[in-house]
Amino acid sequence: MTQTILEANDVCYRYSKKSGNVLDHVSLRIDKGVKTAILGANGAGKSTLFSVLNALYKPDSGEVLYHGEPLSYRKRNILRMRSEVSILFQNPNDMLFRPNVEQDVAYGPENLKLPREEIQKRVDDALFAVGMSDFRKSPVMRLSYGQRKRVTLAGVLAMHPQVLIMDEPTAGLDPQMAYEVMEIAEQLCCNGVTVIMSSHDTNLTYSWADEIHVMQNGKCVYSGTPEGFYSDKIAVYQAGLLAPSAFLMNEGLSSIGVVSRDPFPRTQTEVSAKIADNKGGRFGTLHIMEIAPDSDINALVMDHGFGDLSTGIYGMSARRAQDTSKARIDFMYNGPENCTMKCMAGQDSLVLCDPVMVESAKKSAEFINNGGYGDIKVDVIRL
Amino acid sequence: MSEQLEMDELAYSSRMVDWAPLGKLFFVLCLLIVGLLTNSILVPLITFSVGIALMAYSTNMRIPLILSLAIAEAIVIMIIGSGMISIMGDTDDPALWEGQLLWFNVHMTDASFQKAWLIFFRAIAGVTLMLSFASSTPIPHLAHAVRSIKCPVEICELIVLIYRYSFLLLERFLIMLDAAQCRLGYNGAMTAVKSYGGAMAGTFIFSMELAEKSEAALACRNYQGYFPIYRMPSPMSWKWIAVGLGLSVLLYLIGTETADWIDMTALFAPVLGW
Amino acid sequence: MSNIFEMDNVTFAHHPTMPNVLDGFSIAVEEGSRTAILGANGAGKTTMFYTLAGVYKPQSGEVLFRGEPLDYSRDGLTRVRSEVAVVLQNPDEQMFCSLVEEDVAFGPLNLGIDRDEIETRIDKALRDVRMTEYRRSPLQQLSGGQRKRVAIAGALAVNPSVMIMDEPTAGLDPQASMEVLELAEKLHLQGVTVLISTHDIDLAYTWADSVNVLRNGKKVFSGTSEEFYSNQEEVHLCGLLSPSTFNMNREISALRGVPESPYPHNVSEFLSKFGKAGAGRVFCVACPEDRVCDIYDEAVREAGSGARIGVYGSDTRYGLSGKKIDYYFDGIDSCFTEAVLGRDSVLFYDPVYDPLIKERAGALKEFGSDIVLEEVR
Repeated sequence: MTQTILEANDVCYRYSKKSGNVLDHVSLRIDKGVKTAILGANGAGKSTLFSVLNALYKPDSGEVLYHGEPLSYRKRNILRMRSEVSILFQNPNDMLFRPNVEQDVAYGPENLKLPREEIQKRVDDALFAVGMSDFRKSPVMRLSYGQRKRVTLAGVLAMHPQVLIMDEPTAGLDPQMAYEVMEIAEQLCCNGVTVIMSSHDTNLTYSWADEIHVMQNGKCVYSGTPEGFYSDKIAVYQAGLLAPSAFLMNEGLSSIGVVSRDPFPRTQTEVSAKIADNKGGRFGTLHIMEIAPDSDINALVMDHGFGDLSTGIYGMSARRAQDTSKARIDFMYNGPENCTMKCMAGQDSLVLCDPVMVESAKKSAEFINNGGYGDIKVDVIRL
Repeated sequence: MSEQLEMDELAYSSRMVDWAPLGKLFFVLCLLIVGLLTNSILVPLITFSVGIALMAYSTNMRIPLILSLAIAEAIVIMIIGSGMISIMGDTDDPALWEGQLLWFNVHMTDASFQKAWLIFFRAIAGVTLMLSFASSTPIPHLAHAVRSIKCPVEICELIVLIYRYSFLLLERFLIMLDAAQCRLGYNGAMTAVKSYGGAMAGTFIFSMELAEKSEAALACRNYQGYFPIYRMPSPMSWKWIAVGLGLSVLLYLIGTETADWIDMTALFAPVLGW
Repeated sequence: MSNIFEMDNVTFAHHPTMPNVLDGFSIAVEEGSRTAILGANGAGKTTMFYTLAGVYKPQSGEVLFRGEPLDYSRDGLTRVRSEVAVVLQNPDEQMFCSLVEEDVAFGPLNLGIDRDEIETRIDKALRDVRMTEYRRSPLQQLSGGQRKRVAIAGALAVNPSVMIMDEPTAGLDPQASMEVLELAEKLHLQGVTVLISTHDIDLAYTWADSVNVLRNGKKVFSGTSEEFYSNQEEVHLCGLLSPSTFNMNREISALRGVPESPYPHNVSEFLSKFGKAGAGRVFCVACPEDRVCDIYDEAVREAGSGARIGVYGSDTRYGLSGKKIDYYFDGIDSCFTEAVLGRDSVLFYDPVYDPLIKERAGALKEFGSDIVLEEVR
């Protein structure tokens, strides 16, 4: 049973009486736990939509519903809502209020009037999650753009939101950092947070989002699965977007009958597996080992005799454990994908995984097995 | 933010944008000074009409709300101001109205009443004239004009840069206030004060970084120490001086001739029962 | 080809007490090349650009422009900057005027170019970035994407022989990025040396002839993309990931037991390597600016019904707005993909891109695909 968490109902908004509607009768529903991407060209109204959803702007007409209740715009209700719905702004410089890293991350939790120890713990966890633990005393001014982005992400993580809205979270980040941000988003989803992301990077969102909403000139012109939208070339063009290359390749090959159109591969591994069509080959086993933050990875790996497998890492608690044990890792990035690919090539592999993210780590292997592109045994080793 | 932006937009779309900025400035100053030199109420009334006429021409007969509001605001302020002047007349003179108004001792005399009106009209005329100038002259043009009368280049460039970056900084400051809201930055009075402080500090840091980066960016575009203007407004000409001075002399003469023509006390006497 | 730029063992720090941003840095940029500069945030890309443009003077080492050491006198710098234009990542940092045309004219005016010449340059530059109708608009009314285009126009107005673009597609939506890429190709065809730094590894992979990779103020790699990405360890140390086309090629080649080379760089090459290579026809129509619409009907009739229609180049795209088009962006790759899959298509493009189409078709041949280019006059 899905439950709608945020809903815009026929919302119009304009900045001043003279200008046209920035949001023009926008209606959309965001379901709890659904990975949602808001796509659209520059100036399509994505950021304005976020500001309306977060009650920064009050719509000129229409209403915004949170948990099915219309927003009342009374100060107390808004405060309560904002303690559960956080926004990560695109430009980190907009969000830095305190001179040093630690204090800035504590800004949100302090405003929540939390006890001191709780704040400390949240700041610790959030800084670790974004890989900035070593910088906790650094002055914000000294940090680079990418580091500032990490700090602001930590700042919203520390508020423990139920809904996290991310405006262009990977813009301006180098590829590794962009991947880290996407993994954090995935982790949040697995922890039950509803993550909403705006982007115009269709390749990136295609592999992540369950559902997309497409904005065009202030209107929401599409809500649904990504494939439904990208199949309509004209609509994609009018929205100022381009279809993701994984989708294009699948369309091309299926149109001449090399592969079937369904199921749609969304990640690089899925495309490779589908095209390579390694039916008669040998397949490896994908070992997924649950790791708690205090697990001793080296001992666990030795106990199971996985010492010489290709190893990938996935999820926060696994990274924490790796940070203390300094275990050898082959794939710091895209762990499950790379390990699944190893299995396709007939080798066994091991994913050190946060317990909440096991399902997510299995995804590509399941796609391959269900599509009949291979037969990868998935072996989950519980804690 | 929006007001500053609107003035800028107005200036660039003005029909007088290509007129010589110095000429306009000289003309406006002439009228202002002559308004102060004479004691006739008629002169400020004339300069006020000139200001309104210029504004109407500049905006193609559609004086926008923002200018009307600015003038209205000036009128309200000046009503209070000249009201104060009018009730604080010389206590040696006979009073038109004497008594207690709130916590003021009212002593309105003929002279103070006349003086208040004169100041009121002068101020309104001045505001209108200056607005007609400001709403038709973009700041870069003004800076260029100031430079051409041998004002140090550094000051002129500073004007342009401050003007350009004030938009960016304001934009940044407002976004930061929004961001503070998202992180519950107004949850209590103390928190709100801290948030404003944080936003200001953030804007300040941003301005420093911007300045640093701009220096390099300017060099990339081969900046040579002054900001060139592509579409030059017309240069200052003798015509402006002639018109400005001529009109001043004329108004001065009118002013001295008509100094006592309009007696505000007499005009108001029947209404107020003096 | 000779090197237009060389940096030899350059060391640069913003202040003697601060760490070196460039540290024993050497690089050579070939004249007329398409060079991508890759590296994590803070690797020194922007500083390198500034050093090339003579904005920063290195503490030690030498910067050579056309074989001559940079002359840091005012005249010397003016000479360099009349040939080298820089587009920064954040357009707000490089705009100093309040009107679009004033800002585009800023560079040329500083170079002392005469006003009639500037007039034609503004016209052309604004047309190239499709901002002609905003010529007299104040900058603060424009959106981020539009400001970026104005910044690019400002650089084009210098008529540079070297175009340096720092993250030109960051913050732009995919179609606007495509337009920037088309512009980069056009400049390249006009003989301009184009340097682009980017985090978009997929984009760099499809576009660049050669990549230079920076890490902690040093250049750690210079050569072809494949060579670099083959060394996974180095890629990770540099804060990068390998492009998905590269990864998929490697994975599928391994599974199928075929050699990794030749390396496909775009969808059409990829499909002709791993799909069933057909031999469709691509009707190539170079569109003269004034008669785009007349040609359209004729060419579409000749190609026959069912042929997909693609466009490349902003003039043609603009001229054909309102007509039925299947691929508005990335027309070359899309039409070639159609041909690889054995279907006919029509490709309308600005005449300037003629050599690019030949080049791409030549590259496609290596993948065993025999697509047919038919030129329509």
